[in-house]
Amino acid sequence: MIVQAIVDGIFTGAIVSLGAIGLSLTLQIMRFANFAHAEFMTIGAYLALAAVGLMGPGAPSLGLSFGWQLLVAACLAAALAGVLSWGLDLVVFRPLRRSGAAPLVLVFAAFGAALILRHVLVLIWGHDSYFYTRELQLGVMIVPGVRVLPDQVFILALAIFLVTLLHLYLTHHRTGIAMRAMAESPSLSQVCGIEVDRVMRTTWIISGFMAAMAGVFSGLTPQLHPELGSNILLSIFTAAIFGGVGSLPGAVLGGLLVGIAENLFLLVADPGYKPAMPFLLLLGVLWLRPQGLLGEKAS
Amino acid sequence: MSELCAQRSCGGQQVLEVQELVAGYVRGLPIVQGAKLRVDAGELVTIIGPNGAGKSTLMKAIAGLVLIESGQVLLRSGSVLGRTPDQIMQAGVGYVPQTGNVFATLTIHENLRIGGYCLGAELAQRLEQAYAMFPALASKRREKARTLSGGQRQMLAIARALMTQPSVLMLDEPSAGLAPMMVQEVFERLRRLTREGVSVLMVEQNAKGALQYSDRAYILVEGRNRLDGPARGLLDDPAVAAAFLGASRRQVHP
Repeated sequence: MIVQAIVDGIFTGAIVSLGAIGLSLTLQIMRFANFAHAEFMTIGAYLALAAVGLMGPGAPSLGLSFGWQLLVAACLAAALAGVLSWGLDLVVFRPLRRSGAAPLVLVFAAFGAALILRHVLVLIWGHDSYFYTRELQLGVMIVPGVRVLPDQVFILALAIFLVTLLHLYLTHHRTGIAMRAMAESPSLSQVCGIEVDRVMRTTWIISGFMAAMAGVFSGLTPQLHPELGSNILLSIFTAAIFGGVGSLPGAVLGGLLVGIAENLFLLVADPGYKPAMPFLLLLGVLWLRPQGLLGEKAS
Repeated sequence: MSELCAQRSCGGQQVLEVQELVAGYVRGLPIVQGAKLRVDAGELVTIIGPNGAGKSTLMKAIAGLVLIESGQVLLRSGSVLGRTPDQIMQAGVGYVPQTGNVFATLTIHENLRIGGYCLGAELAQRLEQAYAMFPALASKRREKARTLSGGQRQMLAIARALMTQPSVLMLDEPSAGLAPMMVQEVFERLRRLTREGVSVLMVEQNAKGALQYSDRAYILVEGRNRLDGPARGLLDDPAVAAAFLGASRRQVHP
């Protein structure tokens, strides 16, 4: 039972991690808590649904419940969500920033934006749940008593791939390094001649892309609904803060730990209490290690 | 000469000229209240003065980081008024702030790459030049800047600011928090830079030490020029020594 819960937790955690990465990046670089972030998970999931509607989910292959078409749909949806995420900055956050708004104003603006985005999705697709595919998947026994779905394994592998790619970008690409520099010190970055607007644009696009990927695969296991993103928002925040804001490995580790903790919690508690788990974790982290597990205190 | 400068840019020997500058963080509450200064090519110029005299603010104003209410800041390429910090940097002003002057969470190599952010193909060559100039950094290029000692950090901050080959390098208290040996090394390093064609403007609390290496100095009090002249003359002036050099020594070693 416990091993199964941990394994399930790792798969949930992979999705939480992808969501937490973008949140952590914007938290550190834009310097406010973007509560609209989780809506890009939902947006990504529904954009992929639209794409799947056009080309179909594809024939199940390699033991997965879908074919290459869904993967293509996910990439298209994520790219579009990245652009929309940047668009939200242009329309909502940038004008506020330019007028010298306090971080708290941006936080409330993000709350408002989240509500609007979610309800636009409801207007288009309604409150019903959707499925990418009606294929039923059977768990595969990997060790006695522990079953995994091939889809889950695929999601984990894809998450690892995306995180590795992002890590290489942040440590080797000029703009990636500039993102980390901005995260540490905006004023020194400016003095060094970093184009702040370009770094911010890249940050929004990457965070929207990652969130949408998380959203598509959250919708795959097993369904899409308008609250898909907002339901997981607290877990994502906990993961980002747990791992240490601004730290990519931290966001990944935080996501996995939150996923595992939530699934272990279900062994001992009524599922109705599940939303309380991230709160408890968050409180614990803020109390014991406010900079997060892998957080770096800039000197 | 000054009339000509006021029109477009500073010319001749000058690389930087500040005229009647009024600047501060909040409009209507200027900290710098009519300061002026000039830096010639190959000069090492120091600004000294008591705490709160506006020395750092003056430097930030030149770098484009605080609000300029009136006055003029001229480079060879023209006025900096209305330009953003990155444009001023690209116009040839290197700036090393007093604190937080390196990216602690980035490696030494990444710090230098960020210093040369706006460079194109010449980046690789400049990186090699920086490592040749600061061999201590070369051996630690993969390490995070926060692992460096105070002196090494200052060297990294200087190397970072030199990546774009500025015509004038500004440093805010480069000796702050350094061991006496390191202070000397930093000053000597800056002196050597001026021989290589980089003009240096620095703010210093360690006035006596800084003046020994400087060509000229300005004494700033309450945002205005109090005295200026050749560094040697100021060092030997008993009135200056009593009012400013003694006081600053007490501030360094409380």
